[in-house]
Parts: sequence; structure tokens; C-alpha cells
Amino acid sequence: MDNAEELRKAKIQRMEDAAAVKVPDRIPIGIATSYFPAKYAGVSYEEMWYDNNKYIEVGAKFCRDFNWDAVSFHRSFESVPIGLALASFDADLAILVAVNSVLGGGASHDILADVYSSNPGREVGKNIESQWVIKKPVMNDDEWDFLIEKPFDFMTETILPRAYKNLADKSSPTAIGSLIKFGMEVGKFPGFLMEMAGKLKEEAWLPYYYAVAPNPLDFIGAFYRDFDVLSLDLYRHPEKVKKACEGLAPVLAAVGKMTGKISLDVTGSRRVFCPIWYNTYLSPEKFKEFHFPYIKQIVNELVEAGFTPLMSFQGRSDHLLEIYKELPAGKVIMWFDKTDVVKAREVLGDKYCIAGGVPCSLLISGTPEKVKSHTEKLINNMKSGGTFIVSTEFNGMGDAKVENVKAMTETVMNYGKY
Amino acid sequence: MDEISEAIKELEEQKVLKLVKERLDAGEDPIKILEACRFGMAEIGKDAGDTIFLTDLIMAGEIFNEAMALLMPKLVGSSTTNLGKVVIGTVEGDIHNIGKDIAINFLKAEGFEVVDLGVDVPAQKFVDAVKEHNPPVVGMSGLLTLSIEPMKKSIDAIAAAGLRDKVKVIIGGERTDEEVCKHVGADAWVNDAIEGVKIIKAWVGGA
Repeated sequence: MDNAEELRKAKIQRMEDAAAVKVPDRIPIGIATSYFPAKYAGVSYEEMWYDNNKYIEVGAKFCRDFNWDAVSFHRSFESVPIGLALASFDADLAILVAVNSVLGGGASHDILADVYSSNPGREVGKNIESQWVIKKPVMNDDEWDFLIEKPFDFMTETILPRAYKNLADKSSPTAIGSLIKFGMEVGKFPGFLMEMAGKLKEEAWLPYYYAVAPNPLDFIGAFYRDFDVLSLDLYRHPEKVKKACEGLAPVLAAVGKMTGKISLDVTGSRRVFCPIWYNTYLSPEKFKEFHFPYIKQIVNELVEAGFTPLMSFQGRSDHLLEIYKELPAGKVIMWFDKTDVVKAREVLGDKYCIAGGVPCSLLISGTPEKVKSHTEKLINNMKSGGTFIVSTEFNGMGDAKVENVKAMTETVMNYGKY
Repeated sequence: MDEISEAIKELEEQKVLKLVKERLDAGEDPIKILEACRFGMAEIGKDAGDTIFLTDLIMAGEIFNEAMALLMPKLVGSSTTNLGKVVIGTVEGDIHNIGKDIAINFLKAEGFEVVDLGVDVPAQKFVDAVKEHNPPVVGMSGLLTLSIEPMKKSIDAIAAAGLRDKVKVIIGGERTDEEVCKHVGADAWVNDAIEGVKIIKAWVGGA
């Protein structure tokens, strides 16, 4: 692209203005999707997940053809626990491993044989989405005290050998060999990052996010206990759950700040992805007791350090909107899945940037006319009284029809101008 | 309200189990205890989405199953409420089970016999299960948007086997809506498992 740098700067400005509740030149469009761009480029989900060259090609093609203001082609998180376990040994290595986990694709899944992901072309078909389902808890019911007292030792001694089948016996050739292979893979990562950074500039490709700050309750649910078992823990061991969250919150805030710094250097974006899954499971009382205090702590630390938390409230949050008003106004983006954004605006008022509004179901099942009319109506409803980013549910538009995605994009570009 | 129903409604796990054990030991009719458990579950269902949320429903299901494990040996040979069969599964490609399992627990508590096909269920397996069990209702679950097309495929397969007019099909999951319901050709859609149980109950005339 000839004017890539100008275009990229304009996108950064548009997204920053929206986040800060300053009216931008146009309503931006920001989405996370891995599968739609793969399908659009004629590449299998398996290749998108495992072939870093294809991943960059697909991303670049998608950015050229759709020119969204921000887009992330999310992959997976399988090696995050290894990154965290290394924190007390070498912080830089730890963060390299953590970032590699988010951007490095499926290689670590194959090398370490984790129990978390079912990946395309491996446990599921080559054009089926990767899914994160733990078949049985990695952490046992009687291990809360160890987690609370020594979170890093717990990670290294208890979680790693169970989470990664190839590390089950730490002194075995399989484990040692797997760690060497994993190290070789991580060693390739800075090169990939450089190549990616070049491509981002060349194609005016601005990631929706590139950094991540998990929160404690979701982290425990995703990596240690599984969400249904953690639901029972909230009744059976409430105090232990809270203690464990207290211990993890500063560690995870540090992950957000360190990945945020890398992201700012590479992409120019201050956004840090804060995925929030468990909100949809919890009553307002339980959300306030077990989830929100630690989310707020992390968000406040990120904001203080100059980052913009991109809060991905997945599932449905309608019952929690009043509580979200405690988050710093004009400093966060509230990105909703199923929550009605018009209702969210009514409750949250004009001091927050809201993202969302186009359901993937419409992009999959609807027609271009329906998509256009929905997007126009959405823009009319959301254009005033705060700022807005057109988005869809997190990584949900794999099966969308190309003509519908084009209709959404064109409507935002033409109709979203201020 | 019966003390057991009340304790289930309040999600007091230990109290429920203690009461069930004590009353079984005292020789009370296990069917009466079962009915008290079911009543407590129905009371929870009434408040779902209002004051009761997913973690509460998961806990309620756990307590109900624990109580059932105590009751089952004593219920052998007894005749209990049976509202008929429901075949249920998470559709092909999707391996999530939580929504489906909540629905199953509450369907059982209402007195349905549930045929659980598990997760990642191919279309043909739904067809075979309908042929084998002849249920009035089939439930298809899926958390991710990737489940939309497999839901359509499964319903089309039931139709192609000439069975569509014999069953009502309900789809459930976070990303289903009216648009999806029409697209896949289901009879009803829900985002919430308890709402699904209510619809199924109304269909079979149990409401």
C-alpha cells in the first residue's frame, strides 16, 4: 500500500479517539476473527493455526481487501502456564514465552501435548475451530492451599506435569526433549515478530489487540479447574477461591503491562486484551465477590501505566452493567458479545466507548440487505452519546458469508462518518 | 415447602444430603423424597436469569445428582413421574458440554428420561437416536457459532429420514437466536437451558 503509514496512523488515531470518548472522524470497525480470513483466503483452519507464513499472508490479504481499523487473528494460549512458571527464573524469557503462546500458533500444542486445546487438523477436523475444553480438572480439590501459599511453585510442580502430557515425567527424555524443542520454537519467535511488525506497517494492519491481561477467576477456570468445577468451588471453598485470586491479580497485571509494552512498540496500539468469560455465569452478587474486584485491580494498573484495557465481556452481561460503571470512564473499551449495546449505552451513559452490535448469526444466516439495514440502524442508535466501535462477538464469524461481511464493512465506511 | 426442597432452593449441599440420608434411614418413601428434590429444582428454575445464574444452576444440578445417587438404590422398581424421552446432544464440531448438562439435570428433575448423545454428535447419530428412541423432542446444543451449520445439517438429516414431523427440535446455546432458528429449521431456540426445559415441558403437555 502506497499510503500505508498515513492510513495506519489514521486508524490508530480513530481507535484512540473512540476509546477516549472523543468523537473520531468515523465510527471505527474492530474485530477479532481467525477463521473468516482463512476461509476468505482459501486456507484451511489448520494452516491458519500452524503455518506462520500462511498466517501472515492471510492477515495481509484480509487487511488489504477489507481495510478494517483494527483486526486480530487470534490463535491460542496453550503455553501461558509455562511462561508464568518461568517468571521467578527469568522475567524476559517468561514474557517471551507468554507472547509466543498468544501469537505463535499451534506448534507448542504439538510439542508439549497440552490438555487444554483441541486444534484444527489435530483433535478436531482441519476446518473446525480450535476449542478450549479441559476434560478433567488439572488442579485437584485439595490443592487450593498450595496454590494460595506458593503460586509459582504450584504452577511448576503441580500444573505443568499435568497440563502438558509430554512433561508428565520431568526427568524423562520425552520431557527434556520436548522442552528443548519448545525452546527452539520460542527461539524462532522474535524473527516472526519482526516479520509481522514489517507486514503490519506495509499493509496498514492494526491489530485490535496484541497484548493480553487475563484475570484471576477466568485464569483459574481456564487453566486449573474448568468452569463447571470452579462453579462448585464458589460454594464449597469461597474463601480459598478469593485468596487464590488475590495472589494471582498482581502477577496477571504484570503480564498485561509487559505484553502491553511489546504491543505498543510493535503496533503503536495501547490496547491490552482483557478476556472476561465467567461474567456470564455469575449473579451480580457473586460477580462482585469473586470476579470484579480483581478485574478492576488489573484494569486500574493498566490504565495507570498508560494502556487501554479492551474488555471483552464474552457471553451475556446485561445483569452486570451497573457494576461496570465502576471502571474508569474514557479509559477502557467495553466490547460486548450478546449484551445489547443499545441497552448498555443507556445504562453506562456517554462516558464509555462501547464495541459490538453486529451478531455473527446475522453475518452467517442473513443477507447483505439485512446486514446493511441492521448496521445502519445500529450506527444511528450508537453514533451519539458516547463513542462506539462496530464489532462482532469474539472470534465468532468463521462461517460468515463474504457478501455479508462486505455489506457490514461498506456500511460502516460510508455511513459511519461524523 | 418441604425442608429438602427449601435446602435445594438455597443450594445448601450438605444440608440436602444430610436430610435425604436421615429420611431414607427413617424409612420414608423414597418417591416422596425424590418429589421434594424435584420441587426444589423447579423452584430454582423459576428464578433462572432473574436471581439465579449459571453457577447456581451448575451447583443445583450437582446437589440433585448427589441426592439421586443416594435415592436410586431405593427407587429400583418404583414408578415415578415420566414425562417421556428427550434426545439431546452438542452438535458436530462443538465439544462444549456445560449448557447441555445443565439442561439434562433440569430435564431429569422434571421427570424426563434423557438420552444424552454427548458432544460432537454427527447428524446421523441424531437420526439413529430418533429412530431408536422415538422421542417427542430433540435438543441440539452448541456454544460456538460453528455449531449453526451442523445444527442445520442435523435437522435436515432428520427431515431426509422422514422423521421431522415426528419430533419437535429445540436448539440452545449462547449464539442461537431467531435468525439462526429460522436458518436451521428448528421449532424453538433458547440462550438459557431452563427456558428450554420450560418449552419442552409445554410441548409434551406437562406444563
